[in-house]
Amino acid sequence: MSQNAIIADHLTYRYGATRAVDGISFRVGEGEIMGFLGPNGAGKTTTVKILTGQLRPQAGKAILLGTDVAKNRGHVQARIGVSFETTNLYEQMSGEENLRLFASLFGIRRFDPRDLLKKVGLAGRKKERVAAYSKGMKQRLMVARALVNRPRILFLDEPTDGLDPVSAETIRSLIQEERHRGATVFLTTHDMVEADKLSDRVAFLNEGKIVTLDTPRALKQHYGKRALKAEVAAPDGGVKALEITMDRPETPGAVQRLFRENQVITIHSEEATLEDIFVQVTGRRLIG
Amino acid sequence: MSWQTILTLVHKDMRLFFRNRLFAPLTLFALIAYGGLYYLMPKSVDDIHEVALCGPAIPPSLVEVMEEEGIVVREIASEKALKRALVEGRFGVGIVLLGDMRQAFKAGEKGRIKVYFGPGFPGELEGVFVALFQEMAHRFKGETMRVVATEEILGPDMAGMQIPLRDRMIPLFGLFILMTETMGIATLITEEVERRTLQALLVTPLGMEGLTMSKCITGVGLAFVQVMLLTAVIGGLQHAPVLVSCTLLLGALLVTGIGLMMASVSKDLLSVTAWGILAMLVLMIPSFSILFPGVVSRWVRIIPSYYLIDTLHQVVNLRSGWGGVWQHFLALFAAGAAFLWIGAVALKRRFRCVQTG
Repeated sequence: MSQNAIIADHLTYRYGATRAVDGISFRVGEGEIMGFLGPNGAGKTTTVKILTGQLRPQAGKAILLGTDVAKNRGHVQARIGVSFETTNLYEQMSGEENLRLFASLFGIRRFDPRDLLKKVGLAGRKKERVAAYSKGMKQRLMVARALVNRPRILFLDEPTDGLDPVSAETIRSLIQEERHRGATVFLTTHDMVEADKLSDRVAFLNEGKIVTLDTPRALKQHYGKRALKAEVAAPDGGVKALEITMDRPETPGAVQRLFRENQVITIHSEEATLEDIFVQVTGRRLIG
Repeated sequence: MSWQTILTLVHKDMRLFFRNRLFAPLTLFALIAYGGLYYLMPKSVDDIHEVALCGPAIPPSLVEVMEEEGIVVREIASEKALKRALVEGRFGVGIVLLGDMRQAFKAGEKGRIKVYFGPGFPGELEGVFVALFQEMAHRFKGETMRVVATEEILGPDMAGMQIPLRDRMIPLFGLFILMTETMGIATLITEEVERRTLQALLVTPLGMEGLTMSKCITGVGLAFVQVMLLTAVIGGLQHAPVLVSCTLLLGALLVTGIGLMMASVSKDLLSVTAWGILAMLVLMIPSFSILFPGVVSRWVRIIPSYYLIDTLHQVVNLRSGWGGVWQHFLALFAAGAAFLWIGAVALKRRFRCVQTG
């Protein structure tokens, strides 16, 4: 993460009177996975559109790999890969034909789709038309398509949304593989668990503004309350719930007392989730 | 904008067009149907005017006089049978001689005839036919009109080689196939927007210009190849093939421009079809002036397809060359270039709207 792959500098975009993106600034280092989280209408898609050269910011600038996107869109687009939330493949073409088409649009002359198709588990069905694929297969092909040009920055919008566990895991492995290759990953998602697992840092976006940006661990430490929750046998024969707040000087003594004085039936630790933190920071839930 | 990537997209669009379950079979069907229809239609003009004639005594010399005028006389046994033949459409005109004409003339009396017209006979020609029969009656009596008439045909003399209806329809067949292909390209574009594949293309180095250019090339290519194929099949390339090909290419530019406009305002196949039918109805109006000369006024010249249809008619049917059609050719060139440009601008605006969401 020595250099910045993405620099967003006071990006602003309005739709009429609505500020979809309201002067946001952030940096993403090379090889970093950045989770970009926010509810619908928070400005995630508009930000991605600006970063990928689909929209020109009305104020501020986006610099990707040292190039101003608004000034040299084609140069930037040649070095990024984008996977969209909604399936947008050519359904009357095969998986292989889809990949070959996009490789050709990126100017890649000798493209061999076999490795990529194998990585996403579609090697055996490369000749079939995409219309016959399942949702998971289509989503995997979309990610593969975003990788045809070996991008230095990979934009993924809800890559595992609604997928079966196998497909979701395949995509997560691919994301990790890309990071190990040195690619920067910009991950837009609603799925806090996934963001937590994959992201080096996460940004919470709300009403066009970044409300917080840090590593998941740091956010949890800063905003979250860690606790031990236990169920113990009550004198009346029932079950009583107890909670011990962690990370305090008196915590070790309290844990000792819990076991000494009670018959512990169940015990587990509880950490704040990114979802809890998001609600705490914005007062809104991510979905709904 | 690289030509390599544009050609890649053109190749992709062609592939999708021929995998389209509606337009691929429709194209094949249209080619076969128009080609078949052409060959099923009569290849010559039926110039024989048959007249049904009945009467108690038909003088052979009267029949001779009528046949000198190019009228073939068919004698019918009775007035009732004659009337039935007219109603059934076997003849357009029927004449009943009321009494013996020769005796009437000898007696210095007027010959009396009754003329019947079939239900489809043009009303404006009824008087002409009656006058013609009166003139023939004069000649039958050995008299002639005191007018000396000389005949001169202005323009090409088509006597004996009148243009059959099927050849008059060649420009219309061409227009139909061009419009079919145009609706095909408009559908491909709306599908690209509807299925959001457009977004995937717009994050590649291709860019808006390249994308629009590829749609123009695909549209013109599809329309031109299909119309050339049909024209070749129905023999439209026998005279001045270079001129006909250039005219069809300009026609392909024109209708592709219209197709791009249709795509820029349509959301799906249904709206493309609605706009396509409307466009086709307007564009085919000038062909009526060729199919039914005289029924269309000069205002049709404001419809750009007039210059395509009329140029094709002049070259294919009237054997005109560059010298005879250059003005119409230039007008078609201007209209084709203008419509393609407007279509491309409209399409680019639509793409921008999709991109900005």
